[in-house]
Amino acid sequence: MNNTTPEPPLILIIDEDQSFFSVLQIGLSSEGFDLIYAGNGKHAQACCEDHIFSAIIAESSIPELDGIQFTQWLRSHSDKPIPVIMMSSRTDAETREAADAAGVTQFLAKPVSYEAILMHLRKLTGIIDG
Amino acid sequence: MGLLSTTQGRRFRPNEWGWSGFILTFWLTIILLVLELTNALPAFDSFCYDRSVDLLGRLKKNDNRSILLIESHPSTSVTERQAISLVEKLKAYGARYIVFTYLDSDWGPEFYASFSKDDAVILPREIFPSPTKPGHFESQPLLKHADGLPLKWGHLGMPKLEYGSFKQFQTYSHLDDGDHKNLESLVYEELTGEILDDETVFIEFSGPPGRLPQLFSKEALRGGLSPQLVKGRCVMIGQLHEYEYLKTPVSAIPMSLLEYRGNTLASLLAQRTISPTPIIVRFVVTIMLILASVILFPQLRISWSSILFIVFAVGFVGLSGICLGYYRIWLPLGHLLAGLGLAWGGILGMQLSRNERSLTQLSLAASGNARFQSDKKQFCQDEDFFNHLTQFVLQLLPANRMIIFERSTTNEPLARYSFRCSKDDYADAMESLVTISDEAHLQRKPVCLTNFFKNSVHPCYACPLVLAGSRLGTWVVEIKSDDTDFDEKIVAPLADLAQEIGELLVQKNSIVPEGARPITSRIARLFVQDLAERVGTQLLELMEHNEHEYGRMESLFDTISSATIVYDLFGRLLQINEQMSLWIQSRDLRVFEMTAVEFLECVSGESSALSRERLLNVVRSLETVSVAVTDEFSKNQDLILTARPLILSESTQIDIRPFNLGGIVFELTDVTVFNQMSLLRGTLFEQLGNLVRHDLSVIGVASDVATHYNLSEGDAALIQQTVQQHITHAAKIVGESEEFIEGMFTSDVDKAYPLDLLDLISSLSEGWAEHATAKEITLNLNTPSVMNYAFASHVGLVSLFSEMVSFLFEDSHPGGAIEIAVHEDGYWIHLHFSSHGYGIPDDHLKSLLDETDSTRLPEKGRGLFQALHSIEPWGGTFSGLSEVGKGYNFTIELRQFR
Repeated sequence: MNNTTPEPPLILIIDEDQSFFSVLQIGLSSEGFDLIYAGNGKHAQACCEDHIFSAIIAESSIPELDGIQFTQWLRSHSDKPIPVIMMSSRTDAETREAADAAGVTQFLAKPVSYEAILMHLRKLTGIIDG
Repeated sequence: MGLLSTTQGRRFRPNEWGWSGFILTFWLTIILLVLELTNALPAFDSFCYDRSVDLLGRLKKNDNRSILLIESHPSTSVTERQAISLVEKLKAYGARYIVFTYLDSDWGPEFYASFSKDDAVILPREIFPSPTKPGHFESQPLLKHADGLPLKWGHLGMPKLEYGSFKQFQTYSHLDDGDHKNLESLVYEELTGEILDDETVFIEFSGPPGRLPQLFSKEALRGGLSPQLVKGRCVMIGQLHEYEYLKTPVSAIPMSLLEYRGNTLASLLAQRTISPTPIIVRFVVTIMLILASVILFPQLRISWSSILFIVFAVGFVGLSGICLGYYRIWLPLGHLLAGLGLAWGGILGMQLSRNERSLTQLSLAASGNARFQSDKKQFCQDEDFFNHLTQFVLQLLPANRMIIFERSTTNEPLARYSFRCSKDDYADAMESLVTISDEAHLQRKPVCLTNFFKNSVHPCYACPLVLAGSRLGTWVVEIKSDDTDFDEKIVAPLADLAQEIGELLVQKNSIVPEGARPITSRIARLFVQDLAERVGTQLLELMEHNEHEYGRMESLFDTISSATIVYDLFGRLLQINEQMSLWIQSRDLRVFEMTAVEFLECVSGESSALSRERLLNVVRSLETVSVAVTDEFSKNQDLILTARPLILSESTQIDIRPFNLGGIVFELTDVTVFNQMSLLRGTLFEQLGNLVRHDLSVIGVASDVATHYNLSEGDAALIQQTVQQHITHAAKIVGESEEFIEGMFTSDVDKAYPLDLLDLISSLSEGWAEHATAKEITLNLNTPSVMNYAFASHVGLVSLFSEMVSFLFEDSHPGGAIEIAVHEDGYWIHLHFSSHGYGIPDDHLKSLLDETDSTRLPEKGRGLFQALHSIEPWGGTFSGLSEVGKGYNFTIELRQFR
């Protein structure tokens, strides 16, 4: 793994829908974040091998390796407690409990707002507004 | 005084007889009125007054605290520890408690020690003559454990109850202990074994059925017992169901014996008691009335006027008692009128009024208490129930689903009383349901109605009568009963009603949708051999000998309290009898007896235990359970069976969820269009919601980003494109959902749209060719290279072609050939399907394809018949020829789309 943490904060976006990444990139890059996109769990694993991310935003239902499985993998393969924000359409207690058990830092139920994503990213990466 | 003159013109002159009946009667009237208005008449003396008043005399007036009834029945599943815990809990709420004990109770001294002497009354449930004190009775557990607590003998005088179910109880009470257990075991195993397990014992709350909440005992014993639930009410702990009573998490079924005890006690608490009239007073009054009548009647002589007078008096008393009793008019007014009737009715009136008054007072006491506890609402008068139900049904019907509707009533006094009040409501509801089913089947929608008329069938898990409509192509009847006569009393008329509805279905929808076949085949495979023959034969025999059966049922109905309703059904059945018989003879009626668990097991292909567990979740936790329906007939169709609770009322103030559960709704949905069965979880609409949520997320985030930042032209265009893309996607989901709700299956079949016929035939021909090779049949396909679109339904055509080709394959022998040719001509596209096989006489083929031909065997050529007739809605035509030894020749003409 690369030992240097990039500046500005590097965020991994895992979502099957690339248009969501594109939209987030427009907004979050203006806030000083760098974004990398992964369309599925396997791709996300590869990204984590090559980079150290300040935070990860993952959709729960991603192909090949879902968000919870990915988080479990991340927690078992990385010493650093990289914050993971998981977005899910499923809001039932079972899904939330599974996310908590896997080590998800912040669970966001869809539909999510941009403000919520931004607020949690700033909080988790230690960036002060402005 | 004119009323007292005779028709002979002879004035009534009191002095003429000295100690005259007139003066006696007049003053007796005044006395009786006073007694009535002061609640002093012996209204309760015919049931439970003697001992219960004595027992409850300890309770202070205006005491609105709960009464805790604890029955230390040896068979109760409430342990002593749990009972003690609950007693402690209720003591904190200031409850009083009355303990019914059994000789063989295994609750020990610790339980009795948990009471305080001031509030407890120990009531031995079973007593025996005292060996040491002649004329006294003792109870062993009291002697052992209840030392120091105030003891009262007797148990609410239940053996004195003389009508309705109490007769039954009285009979049972004379059985020995072994018989008791056998009966209970029998009832338990036969009736509750389907879903309930040993842990499902409920704490019953007194009050009118349908209004008072009930709790699972486990939940209550965990402490989930709020003060407002028990305040001023009787709380029954450890009381098992009586022999005529099923324990239930839903209070739609009254609590018979418990109910009566509770209401009686609560009535007494609410000061609705009437002080006992001393026996000597009653005796003197009766003797005086007899004397008065003896003196008075001869003077009146036998004349039309005197007879009319007596008839009037008797009728007045009787009718006033009945009216007051059943319509719950103001209690004092009832007393006044009844008193007047007593006074003026003479001996006969007196006798009648005594009987009527006992019933009236009992009803009034109970109903008054019911009003008190249910905020002056009767459960069966709740219009919201039927409105809600109707809306519910109407919402579900268009969704191409099977619906199970249940309605319960009972023969218990309280519920019968309420039921009479709601007879019109019930009739309206039934009418609306018939209308609904009628409308639904005009649209070829499935309807499944259930109905039952006895409290022994639990509305939650029994699903007593399931009438599957055209969607399944089968009839499913499921009835559970604790009554050996139930089949004779209820099953037959209900089955008849089912057939009446079925007749409607058949009349309106003679073509069973092709999509019914997969489920039909599964159900048929599993149940036809075992069940259809047995139940179906019984029903058919019943139909054939209906005259005799009706007569027998009529006599049976006399013995049950819900005779009004059954008679109503009965009358309707008689009216439809003739048509029904004709229909049954000409149709293939298949009736399956199955429980809800069996139904779920059958359709889902899962184990019985798992199906039972799923239904338990529905009943207990109000969860929605969805299972994928394995479809072995057609791999191209995906179905989901969803079992979910039917919520009667969402506006309850106290969240006791089982209280609101009115039944289980089974929804059978075709989700082929989504083709993602593995991803489906929960209900279909949850899945749709998930998809839409993602779109909303992207749209929301994109909109936020667009408004937060000054975007470059390229970014703005990207945002706009993304938003548009997801709006389109969400709209598509919503549109598909709407289409699905409107009846995806039927719309696909019935609605024609431009279709690439060549592409469709090309895709299907591969499978046909493989099949032909396997059967050593030559398949000759002759289609043009280019052709206009046809106007048809894709789903319908696939079905039609499959049926047609299957038919031809069956006709062909190895080495034979099947010809399929397509060409267009003018406005039409012609398709020719022919075989050179065995064939049948042309008349037989025409019979197969003729809807009105009653000689056609029901199943023979059914699929082909349906498939060919599906062409008609598209504006197409078909024709068929057959000749023995030369095979078949079918021609289909479809409209071109230009």
